Amino acid sequence: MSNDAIEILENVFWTLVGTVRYYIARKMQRLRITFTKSEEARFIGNLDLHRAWERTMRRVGADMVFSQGFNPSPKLQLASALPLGITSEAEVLDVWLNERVEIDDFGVQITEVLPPGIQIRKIREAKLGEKSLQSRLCAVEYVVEMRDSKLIREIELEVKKLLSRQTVMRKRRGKDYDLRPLIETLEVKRAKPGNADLHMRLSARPGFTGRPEEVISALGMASTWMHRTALIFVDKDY
Amino acid sequence: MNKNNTPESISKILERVLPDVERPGRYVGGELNSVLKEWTPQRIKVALGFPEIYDLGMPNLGLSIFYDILNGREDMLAERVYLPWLDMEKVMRREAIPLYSLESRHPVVAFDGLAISIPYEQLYTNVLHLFKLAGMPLYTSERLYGNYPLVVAGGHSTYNPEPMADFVDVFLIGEGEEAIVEISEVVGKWKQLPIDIEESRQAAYERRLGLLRDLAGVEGVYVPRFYSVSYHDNGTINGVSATEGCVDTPVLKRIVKQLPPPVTNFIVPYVDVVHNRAAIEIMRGCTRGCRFCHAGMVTRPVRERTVEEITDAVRSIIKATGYEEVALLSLSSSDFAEIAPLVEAINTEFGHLNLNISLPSLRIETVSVDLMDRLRAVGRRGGFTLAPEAASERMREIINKPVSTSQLLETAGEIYARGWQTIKLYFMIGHPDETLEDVRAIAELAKDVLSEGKKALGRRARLNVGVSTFVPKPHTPFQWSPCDTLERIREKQMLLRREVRGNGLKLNLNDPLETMMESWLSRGDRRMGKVIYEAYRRGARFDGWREQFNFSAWEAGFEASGLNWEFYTARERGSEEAFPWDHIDAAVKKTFLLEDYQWSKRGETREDCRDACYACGILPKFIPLRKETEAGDWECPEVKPRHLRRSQVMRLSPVASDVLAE
Repeated sequence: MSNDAIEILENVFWTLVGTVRYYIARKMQRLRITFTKSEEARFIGNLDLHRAWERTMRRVGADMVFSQGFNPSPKLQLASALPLGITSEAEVLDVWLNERVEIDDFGVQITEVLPPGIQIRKIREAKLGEKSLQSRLCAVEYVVEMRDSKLIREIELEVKKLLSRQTVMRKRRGKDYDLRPLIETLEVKRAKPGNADLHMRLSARPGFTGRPEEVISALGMASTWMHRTALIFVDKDY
Repeated sequence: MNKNNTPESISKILERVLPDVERPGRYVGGELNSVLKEWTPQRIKVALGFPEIYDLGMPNLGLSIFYDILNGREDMLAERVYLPWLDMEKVMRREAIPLYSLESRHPVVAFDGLAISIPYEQLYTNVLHLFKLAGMPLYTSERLYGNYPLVVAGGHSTYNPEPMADFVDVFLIGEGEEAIVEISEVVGKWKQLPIDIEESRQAAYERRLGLLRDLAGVEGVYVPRFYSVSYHDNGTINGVSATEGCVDTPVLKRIVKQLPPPVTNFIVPYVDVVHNRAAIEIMRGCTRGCRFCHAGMVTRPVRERTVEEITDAVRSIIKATGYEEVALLSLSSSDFAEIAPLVEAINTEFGHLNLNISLPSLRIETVSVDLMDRLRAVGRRGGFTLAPEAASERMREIINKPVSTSQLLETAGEIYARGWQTIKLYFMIGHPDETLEDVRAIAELAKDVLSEGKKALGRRARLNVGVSTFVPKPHTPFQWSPCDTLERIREKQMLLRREVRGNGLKLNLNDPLETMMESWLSRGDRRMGKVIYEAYRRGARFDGWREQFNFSAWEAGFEASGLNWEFYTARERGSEEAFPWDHIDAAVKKTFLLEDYQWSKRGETREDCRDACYACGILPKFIPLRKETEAGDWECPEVKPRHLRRSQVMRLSPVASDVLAE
């Protein structure tokens, strides 16, 4: 068979698959929730957060889509695991529902039963066929408040030194890795008088993820507060 | 004064240190449905303590009930206290943080009362540990002089309160739903009494004794200080006598005439705890009379909830908590009169929610498989657990759990046939009169069960065999019986290791040394307090954790106290012997228990006492309460006085004569 024929057959096949999927899924709805995780919730790990969201959905009686099989679990996806102890204003969750809901009403209902420390910033509908959030995430931004009362100029110097290095070898959980390519941007900004904040953007691709405390530690400094400000996806419109 | 004793200072330190400890979520509180009330001076403040870490304390249903009841009252507040795990304990010591409550982060000593649940004996050293971390003296006699919270303990192990009598101010024997409020009210009134600012040490002591006297007036409260114990030369109890006029001897356990509405607004932990689920007690008490079973004897009479109350509760629980699992608790689910309608109702209403409804303690019969199958449609699938407790029919008659082996095999076959790949079988070794043949029967039965599985599923069939060691418990027919010696247990376990093996078979045994500890604590007397204290001082704590259990600390504890542990474990008690717990009345008569022990030696069984009353004594003990209940509220059969009865079932007579005597 010629390559053209194969291509045509493939196209026909995928069109068919798409149609079937559309008919199965047309009543489904994929909601994308952007939420904050504040101080009260900063010690909740990713698995625990996943369960907390499942329970939140159950409290409002949301008709979640479940996986098939012996142990059905609801279809919920968190974009990125937030390291323990860090607060965030930019967490993203996708949830699949069997029946369409009125988003504003749904938002009000959910807000009433959220666990302490979680607040919703935005809910919108996402396309059912879109790839998973995790696979489309590419970077994460943090703001870190520095504990040391060093002069801003000193911190700036350290940052400059770090950024000028070709490699920054670190060890985490017994594994050696290079931190330098994971740092996309790193800059010092003046916060309250006399205090400095570090603003950074770290890579967050699968298997290629930077952690803010590693950056602070590589600078030889300590922080009082770490906060996630944004998730960056491959396409702007997440 | 310690500067770290305000909620603010504690919170401030926590903020700094928590990132360095394992699972910091255990130590911060603030979970959904937790209740933080204002600390007004008028409010009676109760710390509800579980002497274990958060992960094990959170699921405790008893404390959830008290939390709900106390916080439901305007004049009271309740907060939770658990032990820190070892890493956090180190941090707390380093930072000089006293044990604090999760809600408001007040130190324990700032509360008016500390109510502790002690469901099992392995927690005894942890109770001392809790006092220590709270900055309280361990002995109640030392706390009488200071302004410490009143320590109240309850829970199943406290039906023999004596081993902990030196450390706990007052015990609540039995059910606490009403008594916890009454106790708190007494404490509240006592708090209102004017205190002389320059009160002498002696006056403070007297004032505190006054509180204990008032508390002794609450039904079900036992104040150990007001009783003195004398011993025979051979170490057995000579007698227990009251030293204060105000106390009852014996102290009758407290019961509620009807189960109060179930808790539905459970706290939802973020951290993954054991039994991460909501629980509804569908029935309290048990009519089966298994002779080894402590709970079955002390929780009589049987009281059930209605199907409607249970389904209403499930609905409210889902709304309030979003839990994906709800456990329907009882000592014997199959005996719940409306079990089939209950399962049907749950299926109908909640079947589409992918909920996991667990129904433990089902009888070994194919009907149970039907029930589980229908519940499985509601949600997820786990293993299927059966507890024959003994492998030979002879043994099962001795322990009064009569199930035929053929019925067991048929049930197991049905379970595998319906698609469960794993069955868990629970046995105990060390029952009275057990021989090595009876132990070997466990291996044979296990293989027979597994071959049922292979018929249905081929090589996918699995069988987990859990074998624990029987420990004779107070207030049961086996309270006279010796516990197996270490050598004997080891011999039996060796046999099991040799015989219970093969493809698809898994064997779980417990540590014989832990069994010994449980054994001497279960039937210990007041002198055991010294042993507990000495063992704790030598590092014993978290005794329920295999890797923390410190047997040599206990041995040293016995040495330091001049006691011999085999006196408590290995000895068969004579029928005339007075027990350390004889002044605690669990409402089942000692004469009934003794008779049942003798029946067991003859291999005679007593079937379900729903059908025929064996006169255990519960009814004559609670005649006034029984009169307040509707017919059928308790599952005891109607017992008529002798002259009103025809000649049927005459062995029921003792109860009738008791009734008439009143």
